[in-house]
Amino acid sequence: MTAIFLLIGFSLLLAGGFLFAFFWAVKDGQYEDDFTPAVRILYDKSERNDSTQQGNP
Amino acid sequence: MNVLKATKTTCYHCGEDCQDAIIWREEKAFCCTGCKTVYELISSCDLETYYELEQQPGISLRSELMDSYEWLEEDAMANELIDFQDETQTQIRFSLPQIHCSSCIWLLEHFDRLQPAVTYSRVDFPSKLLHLAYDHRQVDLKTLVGTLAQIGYPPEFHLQQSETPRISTIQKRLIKQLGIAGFCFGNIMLLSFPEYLGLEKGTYSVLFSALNLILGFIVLRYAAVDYFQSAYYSLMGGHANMDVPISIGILALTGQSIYQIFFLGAPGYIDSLAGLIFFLLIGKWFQQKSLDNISFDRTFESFFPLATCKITDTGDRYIPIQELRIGDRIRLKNKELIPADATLISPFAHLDYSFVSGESRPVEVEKGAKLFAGGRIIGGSIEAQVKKEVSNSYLTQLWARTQPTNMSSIQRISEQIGKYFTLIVIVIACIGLLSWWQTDVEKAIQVFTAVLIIACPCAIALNIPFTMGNARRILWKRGLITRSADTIFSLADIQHIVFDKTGTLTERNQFPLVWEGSALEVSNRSLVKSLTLQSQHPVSKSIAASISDSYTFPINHFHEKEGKGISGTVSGNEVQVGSYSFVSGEKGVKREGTWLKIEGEILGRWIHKTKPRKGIQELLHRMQKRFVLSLLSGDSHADESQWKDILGSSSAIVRFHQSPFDKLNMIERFQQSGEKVLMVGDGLNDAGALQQSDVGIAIAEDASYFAPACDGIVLGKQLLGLDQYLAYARGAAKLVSVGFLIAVLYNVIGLSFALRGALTPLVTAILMPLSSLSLIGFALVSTQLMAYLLPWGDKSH
Repeated sequence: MTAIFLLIGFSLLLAGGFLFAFFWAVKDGQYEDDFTPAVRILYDKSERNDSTQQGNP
Repeated sequence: MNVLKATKTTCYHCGEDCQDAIIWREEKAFCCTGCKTVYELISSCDLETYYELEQQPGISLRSELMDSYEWLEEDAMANELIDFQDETQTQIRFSLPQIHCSSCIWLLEHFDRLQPAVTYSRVDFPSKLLHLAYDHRQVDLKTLVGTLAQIGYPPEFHLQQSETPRISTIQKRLIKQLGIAGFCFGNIMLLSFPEYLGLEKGTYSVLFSALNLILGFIVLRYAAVDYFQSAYYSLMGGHANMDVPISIGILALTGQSIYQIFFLGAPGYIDSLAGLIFFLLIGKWFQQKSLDNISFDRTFESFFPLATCKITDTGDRYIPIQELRIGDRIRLKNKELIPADATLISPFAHLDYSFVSGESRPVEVEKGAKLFAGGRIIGGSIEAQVKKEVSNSYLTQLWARTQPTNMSSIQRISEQIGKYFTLIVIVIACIGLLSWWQTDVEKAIQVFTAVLIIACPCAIALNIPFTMGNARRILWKRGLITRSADTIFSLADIQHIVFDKTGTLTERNQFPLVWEGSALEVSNRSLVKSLTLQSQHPVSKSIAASISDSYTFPINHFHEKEGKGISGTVSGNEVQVGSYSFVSGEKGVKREGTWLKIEGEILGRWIHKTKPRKGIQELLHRMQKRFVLSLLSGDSHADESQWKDILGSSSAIVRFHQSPFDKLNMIERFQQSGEKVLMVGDGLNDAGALQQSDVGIAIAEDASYFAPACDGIVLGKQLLGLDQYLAYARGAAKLVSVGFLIAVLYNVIGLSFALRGALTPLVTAILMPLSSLSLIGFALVSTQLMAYLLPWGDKSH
């Protein structure tokens, strides 16, 4: 039964860690712009090289 | 007359109908040279992906008035705007209200291809901000801003830009509080599990209770503190708002729990407490979550340029307009706004007062004439002497006059509820206490606290945020952006709707000149176009722009008589365009319109006529049954009878020649007779009326550019849904009442349990979250359902 004290301690520690990760994310501005990053990730990075090759043979 | 118009061609760049002339390039159609230039610029920089991500993503340059950015050369002015600067780079944030799609993001984040000196560019879409870092040794701010304006994203500058606190700091605090409450709520529920399952008490139960208590205090201290503060301040102010009963409920819950844990060894209601605060915060977040960072509080400063060109002994200098003093001489270029009331020094000037008066026709004034702030210069640059300081000018006084708006209706409602609710609950609790006192003292105290706990108005407090929060979101999706949930309450009460004419009931970009006379042959049209192209006069330019399918010929003997008309010989034909006396040669005869004479024969005239927006007639007809409709226009009477017909003759008030102050006073008069007034308008001339009215809705033609202070913004095309928006607002207000009824019902049931002393922890644990959750569910589902059931008009757009 004593194991439960240890386990509760660990679980609170872990959850507290997540809570601080959340604070860090808020402070870092991750919740300020929740739209643009989702769009940005869809853009191709290498398209410039492709299009220059096509455009100027 | 025009076969070409049968097939509709839309611009490859901006997607607008090509009305006047279609310009072709690489088999792509453009509506104006502006769009074509942008396309060429974009394609030459390998940025064609812009057109692949979204269909016709560009911003129409046809109506856009290019500002001049010469004042950015002045270091003192530029430094106001810069965020950070060191030897090699400068960081700056631009506010670009035109950002509207993913193509915009892509183009702006590849800005370095247009301007190689740019080292970093990031778009913040919800705030419509562009963060830029650039090497200022290679490019100056003016060029950078010029390039942005050139591709259709002219930045919006405000002097107060650096001073306004970011909305996000309030938002951040709430998100953090939500995090804490969620964390504690989850862990408390976990630790309460043995209790829920009814397990035997062991050594661990003491530990669990202690941990629950600690977590509960964290919630109180960090997440619920705003409720206590608000309740405290409102009590100090001598009235009870909604937060008072909430705070009393929370405190009663806490007190009861502490008592149970310490004296009875029971687990208390800490889980209910944390859950309650968590739900309340979610409701707050739901309501506050800004749909987008559209500013509803623009003052005249947002419309006026930041700086103006002052003529000094040592040459022209740009100074902030606040520093303009009476007697200063200023130089204004084509398309610049007049910053302060002034007197004209140059021989003559053409002015567009559409911002001030709503009158869309350009006016011509001569030396010594009074120029009013807000007018726009058309044509060549002029000199003027300032007569009044910016803040005392005619137009800016509109803002000085209007009173701050009254207390919001939500505040009023919740204050009413707060006042009575607290009182009733305390009375009921006392009755319970007294009636049990004789039989069982301990039970009497238990009943007393139980009543306070169960009657906590959490369900009522959640009702408005969720119903109105979701209603706002739905309206926003349908095209009406509201300032706050409050606006929807006000919209529901509207009885009288006042419209502005120009730009509201009529389309702003609709070509305003109409030809009256015998139909012009292609040959004659070509003659007219060739001649009118030569003059810089705004009317002449409009005529030239209205003729698309024609040729241009060289001109001989071109002569322009200032303010009268133009004449010339085009391929052997003598052509005259101008006022009636100029064309006919009869001195002193005044007849309206711009007349045309070819080879000695007067063929007809162009007159200024604005067309009603498509579908507006049907809209007004639909709304006549329920609302009183009025029209207040700054324009001349020209088409008064037409508008009287459209509005319906019943009780409609149609007034023309209304100054901005007349409009404001009319609205005030309507309100004094007890009516709730909705003003729909655009431009600065409606600014006073928009503020005075109970709800002011501004029309924005694109991306909320130039919307004055108002309660709601609707895009031009979406105005046709106005009756639907109002119907929806009325429905949403009704849903709030239904929600209240449900909440009251829950309270009655809960109280009957509490008063009988039958309130076991189990019943509380079930009843409290159940009432909150079911009410949230009702609010979300019912508002959504109503949106489906409403016939959202003809969605012909």
